[in-house]
Amino acid sequence: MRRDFPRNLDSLSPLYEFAEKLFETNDISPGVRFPVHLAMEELFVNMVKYNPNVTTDITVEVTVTFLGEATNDATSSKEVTVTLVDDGGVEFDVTAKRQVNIDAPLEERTPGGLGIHLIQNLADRLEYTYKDGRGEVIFTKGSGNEDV
Amino acid sequence: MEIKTTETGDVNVIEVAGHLDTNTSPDAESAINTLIDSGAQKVLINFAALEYISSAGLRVLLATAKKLKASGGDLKICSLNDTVQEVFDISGFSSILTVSKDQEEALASF
Repeated sequence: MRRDFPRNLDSLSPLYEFAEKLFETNDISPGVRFPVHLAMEELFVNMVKYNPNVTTDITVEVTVTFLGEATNDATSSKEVTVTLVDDGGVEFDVTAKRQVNIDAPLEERTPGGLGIHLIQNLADRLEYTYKDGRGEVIFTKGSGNEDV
Repeated sequence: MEIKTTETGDVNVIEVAGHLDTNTSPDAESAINTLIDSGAQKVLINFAALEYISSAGLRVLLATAKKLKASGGDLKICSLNDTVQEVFDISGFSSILTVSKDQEEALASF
């Protein structure tokens, strides 16, 4: 499934609906739904916020791969790959380690970098490429590897 | 997302249901701030019906905890499902916030 979304936060509701339809159609297990949904939200919001003057759409493509026998029910192993293409945005390597001190006391905690920190910890694989002004993020999560 | 606010003794209980994400967090923050600005000091957020939280929701919790602590108040959280608990663990929020297994235990901890 592939769809272009206008680069603004009004696209989040259609993006959520896009994700839910995909989950239902492919009977994706709850342990995979959550990290995939989270990755779509966090990555999309980052692309919007860090590129306020860019007007190109953001392309979201999701593929489901059967890891074993293709029975298409929640018990079969599936790997979900989400690709977001940011054409015209600034370079933002989501695989780079961020300064998020999760052991700091409340008074010293800041909210920055939490979204990327979560994605990095929930992904089976996280890839980023940037060439000629075109950024591409690939987030992969498979059943059997659920963290939640 | 749905928010329901009740009072149990001197504790203001906020029940948040559904998704706490980029779209809904501003409304949640507004509701919580209205409560704090009206004088609430002991605040319990019950997440029993919360299905999903993203970093936008975590930011609201962080801001709320700091605001209450600065004014001598206290924020406590209860009833996380496994998904939300995992987010709390990965983000370190399990350490900086008091999280109880249910509302009864949380109320007793104030």
